Amino acid sequence: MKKILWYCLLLTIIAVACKKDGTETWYEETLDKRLSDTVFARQATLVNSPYGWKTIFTPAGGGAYLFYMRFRNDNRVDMVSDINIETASKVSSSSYVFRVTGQPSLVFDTYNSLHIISHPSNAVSGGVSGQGKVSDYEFYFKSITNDSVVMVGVKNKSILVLKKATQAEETFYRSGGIKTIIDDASAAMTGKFLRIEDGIDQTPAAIDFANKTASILVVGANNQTTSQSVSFVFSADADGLDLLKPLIFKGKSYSKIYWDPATKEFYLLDGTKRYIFKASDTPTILAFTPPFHELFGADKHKILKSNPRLVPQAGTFKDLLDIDLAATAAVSRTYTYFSFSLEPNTNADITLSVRTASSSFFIASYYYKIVWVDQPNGIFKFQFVRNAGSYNSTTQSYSQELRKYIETNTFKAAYLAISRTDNLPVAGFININDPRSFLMGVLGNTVGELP
Amino acid sequence: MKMKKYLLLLAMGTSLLMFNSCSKKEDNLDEPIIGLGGVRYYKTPLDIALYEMYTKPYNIEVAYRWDAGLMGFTTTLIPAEEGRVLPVMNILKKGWIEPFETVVSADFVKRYIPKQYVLIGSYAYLSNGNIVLGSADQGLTVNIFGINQINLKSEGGISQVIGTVHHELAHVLHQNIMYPLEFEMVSAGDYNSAGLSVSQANARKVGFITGYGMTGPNEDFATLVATMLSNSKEQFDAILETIPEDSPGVNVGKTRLKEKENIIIAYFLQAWNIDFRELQKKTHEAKMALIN
Repeated sequence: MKKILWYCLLLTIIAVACKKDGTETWYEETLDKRLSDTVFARQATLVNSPYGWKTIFTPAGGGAYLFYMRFRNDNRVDMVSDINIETASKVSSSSYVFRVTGQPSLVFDTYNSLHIISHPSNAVSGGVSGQGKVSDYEFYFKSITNDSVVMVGVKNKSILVLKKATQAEETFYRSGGIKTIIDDASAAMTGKFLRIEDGIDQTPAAIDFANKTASILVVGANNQTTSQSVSFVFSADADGLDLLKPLIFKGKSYSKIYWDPATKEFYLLDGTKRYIFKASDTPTILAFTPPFHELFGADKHKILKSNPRLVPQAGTFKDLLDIDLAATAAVSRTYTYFSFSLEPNTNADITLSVRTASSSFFIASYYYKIVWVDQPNGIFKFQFVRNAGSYNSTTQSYSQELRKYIETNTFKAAYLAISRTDNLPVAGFININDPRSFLMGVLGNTVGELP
Repeated sequence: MKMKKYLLLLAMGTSLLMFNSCSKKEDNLDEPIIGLGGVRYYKTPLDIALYEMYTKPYNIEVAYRWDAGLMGFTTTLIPAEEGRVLPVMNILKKGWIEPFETVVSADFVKRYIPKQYVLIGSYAYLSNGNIVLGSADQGLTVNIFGINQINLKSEGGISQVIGTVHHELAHVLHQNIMYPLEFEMVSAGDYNSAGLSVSQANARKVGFITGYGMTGPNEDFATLVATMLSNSKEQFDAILETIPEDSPGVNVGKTRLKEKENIIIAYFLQAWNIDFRELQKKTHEAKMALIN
């Protein structure tokens, strides 16, 4: 028995001794081969999207940016982004490589618009000095599906979700589509009054491409105005603006402002109903209650004042006022302001005063009565009573166009949606025969307290 | 009975081992190693130009693609703009390589030039508010920061690029042939390991061109050589004139810097047979040509 055991042991030793294996691996292929294959496969995934990729990239440090990327087999990537007008209007090409940094990762390894967000100079990135906007340009792969690739930043863990772009989208981005929207929208909006018109109210709106914000002003109870300002990013679907937080309009929330390239207008979409951002020639009226004309002479409604430098006028009225300014300058005087006293006195319902100055100042005042045309709607005419003093032709020339304007037209008194940094309420008289023409001023109790 | 059980187990074990052990798989050593040679990419015209202009004649490597291992894992930096790589290298060639080739020799440049140039798009912004413009390792690698931001047509921008190389070259030179002992005797006693936090004006008052130069004789030497080469003789003299007198007729800083300047000029001639004034002149001319 013992012998058999010994034989068995011997046999075992021989058998084991014979085991002359190479390096034993769990996988069919070597590690290097598998890494290399993975890199090739991932590069192929990126290259093989026929029209490239699109993404709304949200760096770890906040914010959101649209990127369009097209990877080519020769380690070149074309990029368009909405970071600024330059990156939006031209395709820039840079290098990308795959590095094995713990995992096979995609590195955008020469400068392109993606790096602006990471730039440690705050003047470039708009972020914190030394950190940029806490973003990434080296990414691990997290998942790959048929039409998307999810990547995670190596350094700051920013998430990059690439989605396959369509042919139309590629054409849009490559041809500077974002810039076209900005240019078209700016051309339509410049010098105009932007508002959403829903048939009842006028909701003042603003779209600021430099800061990428959209805002609307909503009038609530007690005439409280609330400005909602939300940041946007150009939509990856090339059809408008994606809002980073919803905009509440008429009790509904919207996460997108659509762009209609045919009419060159932005709009909100509620089902099939469009609320269009109208760029209008006429000023936007704020629907306060009670309306402006019912408060003439009341607290904070005693003076309507315009210093042409600090409360600039617009449109055709500005052209008329400029004639008065020129007439004043012609006699070496400075036009300081014009103001309406809305407090009735024994002589007048409204008193117009015009102040000019050189070595000493001079105020000419003119008394007017109000003749109501449609009092409930605040529509009236100025009826001239008399001058408050005796003025010669030179001193009258300081206000001749202004006086002609108010004496020959019919006006609607209204609060206007003109936002000011000093937050003073703005009201004006709109020429009802030509609503593009209006004069405006800031409201208060005394001339002295107003700019 | 028990024994039989053991036997059976043993037999089973043995046969298993035998099956396993007699496969003889050898590693095939003829296969090329996958992944050798690092990151794979297609060479661009820029890569080819760098190879032809710098690698082939001077054995210089220009690293401009982002490589965290080479450029930094922790500091936030961004990669170089491709369009700026050749202009930066051109500053090195015109403002550094060519003056040395003319005044010294092509062989000297090939032998002592730092061999690796790492170009980084942004400056490195340190938490203390300082900005790193350039740095170097071991006389081999020169890191030039902020190449996307530098004004490549300004004197300051050009000095920044070539100043780092001059500084590094000075180290290479004294590591090969040591500067004379008398150099470090000039300001002996005023070396200060915390020199980086000493203001330039205070450093100059005791005979150092920068605070960094105070940290040790080798840095004293390298900062002074770099400053002398970054300025014409007239500009350098003007710098010395800005140092205020300690008392009427006594100007320790200026006297010491003058003394060191003379030692350096003599060292370049005796140790390396280099006419320093000629080199300074040629370098300045090259710089002026780059600005215009």
